[in-house]
Amino acid sequence: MKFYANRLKKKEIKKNFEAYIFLIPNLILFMSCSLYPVLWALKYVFYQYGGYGAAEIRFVGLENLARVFRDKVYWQSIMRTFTYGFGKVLIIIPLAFLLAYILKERKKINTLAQSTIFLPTIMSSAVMGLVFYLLFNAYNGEINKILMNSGLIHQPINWLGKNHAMKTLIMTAVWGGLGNYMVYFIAGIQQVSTEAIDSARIDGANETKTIWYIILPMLGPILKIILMLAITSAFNDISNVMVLTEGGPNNATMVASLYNYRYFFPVSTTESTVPQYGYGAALSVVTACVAGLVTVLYLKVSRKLDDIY
Amino acid sequence: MKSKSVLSAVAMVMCVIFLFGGCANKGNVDKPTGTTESGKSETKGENKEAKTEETKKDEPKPENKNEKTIINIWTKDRHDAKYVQAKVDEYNQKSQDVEVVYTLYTDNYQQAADLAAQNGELPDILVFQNNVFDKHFGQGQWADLYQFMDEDMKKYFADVIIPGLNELDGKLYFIPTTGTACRLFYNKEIFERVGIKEPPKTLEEVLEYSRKITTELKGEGIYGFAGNMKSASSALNRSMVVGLQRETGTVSGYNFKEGKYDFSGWKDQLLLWKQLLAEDSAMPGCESLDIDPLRTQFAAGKIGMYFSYSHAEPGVYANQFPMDSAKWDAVPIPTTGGKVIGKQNFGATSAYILNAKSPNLETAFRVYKELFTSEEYLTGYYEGGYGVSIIPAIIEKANPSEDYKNKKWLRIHPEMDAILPKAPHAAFAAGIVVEGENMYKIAESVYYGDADVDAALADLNERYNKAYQEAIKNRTGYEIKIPNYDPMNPTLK
Repeated sequence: MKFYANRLKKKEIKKNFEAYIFLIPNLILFMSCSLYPVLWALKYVFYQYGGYGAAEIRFVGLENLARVFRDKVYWQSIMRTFTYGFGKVLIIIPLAFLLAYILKERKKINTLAQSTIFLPTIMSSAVMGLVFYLLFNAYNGEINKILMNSGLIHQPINWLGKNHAMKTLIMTAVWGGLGNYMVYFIAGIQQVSTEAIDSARIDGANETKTIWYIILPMLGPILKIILMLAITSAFNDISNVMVLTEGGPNNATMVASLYNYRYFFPVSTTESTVPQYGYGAALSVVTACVAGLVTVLYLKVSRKLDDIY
Repeated sequence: MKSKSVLSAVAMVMCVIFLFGGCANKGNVDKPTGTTESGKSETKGENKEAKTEETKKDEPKPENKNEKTIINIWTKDRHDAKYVQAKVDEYNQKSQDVEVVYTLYTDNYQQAADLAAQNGELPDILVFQNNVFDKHFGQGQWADLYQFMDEDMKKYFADVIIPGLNELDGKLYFIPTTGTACRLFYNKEIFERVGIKEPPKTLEEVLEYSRKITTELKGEGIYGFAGNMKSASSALNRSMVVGLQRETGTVSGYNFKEGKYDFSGWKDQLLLWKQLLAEDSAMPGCESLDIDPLRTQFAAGKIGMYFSYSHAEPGVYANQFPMDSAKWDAVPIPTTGGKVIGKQNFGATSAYILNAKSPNLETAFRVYKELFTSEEYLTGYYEGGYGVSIIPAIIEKANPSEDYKNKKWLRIHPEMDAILPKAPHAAFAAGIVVEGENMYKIAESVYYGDADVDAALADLNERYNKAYQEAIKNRTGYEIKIPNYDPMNPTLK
């Protein structure tokens, strides 16, 4: 019996030989770039380690994890991540859908508009951050100049100050990600059955009703994925925050990913600073758990979206 | 079937090439430390007599006489990059056997050095930076310069060899040739316009003048004060923290006499800073300001006062963001009520560290000596306004830029500036782990009005002392207590 099972297994391997070969690069990359760092981080959760050049690696047991739960600034950064993610999703999803709906037809002008809107997606977010700094800074930013010249405001707005910095960050994130989500929606809208839309129109449904009762419900499954991508990406957004505000003023824009990053790559040219890899790893693991929890909750809540078809 | 097998084999080979190609050491491609390129073989330097057997063994033998040894130098300094690059080009033209590759890293200097150290790819020579030096010192990463220096060189730099700073356990690791001190920079023209006759001597006057300028000239987009507050540590380490050294005799809140942290002396300054950064005084948008955008605004005549380093600003306003030299000047950092009980730290700069693990260590030293310690280089550096020389022979001989001649406080003043000892959290940076936000972030929360000053400082005292005691207990740090410490005559330990 065992002999036959082995033979069957060998036959199966031989049959899928090419598939295995093509899987190898991905497997190696996955193991070296995803799995290994995760295992590495899991190991250092239990150590106090200042990175290469540090005096020693000290086993501290669960102390790093306990410290995470005592760290008020970290939990505030998690709440800010939610604000940032929620704000971003709230604006970007309806806007991307509207643009996709308007530009869905394959016309030259639409293609041009789509490319223009998609362009920020392929731009470096660090460069984007710098450009937005020039636009938003309070002392000679272009946005303030335009608003003041048009008489809409009389005093420059401190866009990157304590009261407005988070809103400004959300705006830059929306600008940077809009094209991407628009493309997802265009792909989704093109899958919607034209017969269903035509039947609705024959039955007298206007544009708004067609969108609300036909297109949106039929976009359910893809909407679920888009929302999930938007939520999870909000947990990873870091570069534009770093360039624009560095998490300030006074942590007003300190999102979880940047807070974690600071422990791996402390930035100070003026004073001796060493990374805290152990604590950084603990923060990353807890953040991953929070993100996982949010995703699971979302998938549970959004199960309804799967039942459309 | 056969074609399928061939296809599979080709795909496999391609995958392997792709993967290992990506992971391969770039060394042979980019010619890093120790590689050579066409040119002439290594010359016999003037330090030949100082050559040790060990370094002789380490030195790679050029394959043929047409090869040049590549010496890599990394820097983090933008302000003198143009000058140094010109000197490097000149050196490369003259040199028969060595080619110097000069690379500028700025904000990511420390990270680049850390990664390179980890991979064994550090360059032969690096610009000295505290973090980089401290972090890799324990691994024997830096070369003892004494092993190559002749008596003349030792004598020439004797005044800048300071035990406890650059000479540790009888070994010399770097030679600073310039110094930098933190000062208050002000726009003379703006001061004149609003009728301020003298620069401020106290922090209260800074606040008063700042408010006056902002009130009177805000309509023209001119404000009294600005700080590069985007990074609290960068901003405060060139201003408040330095001022507090003179005002309280402590270093970053550490009292050397008592051997403990005491941040209570920060209260008055923090409360004044809170007002200084308020709307009626500071330039709007300071919260997200970096030092270079700040300098552009100062050069444009939009800022009355700001704090920075004396070595960098003359070069910046001469080359980077041109500004009429007659319009600005610098004064010592004002303290609360003008109180002074100690000296302030000055940074020993323009120093280079040599990678002890470089296969071309001896050649690297020769390049370092010929390039960065020659009188011509040091004189040009001082005269060009890239740094304030601290080498007596250069000070005597050079004809420094007008800025350094006319602006007294750009120079180092021994009656006010000294090398101060490091506080424990800086001396044992890897061993003392302070839980929670650091002193700069806490200061930030106070001056932005989000925290009560007394509670914040009490919390700092508790956390820093706790981490310090913990480190002593775990032997990851050691007690630093100097019972006879005199802030006016500080000693290094």
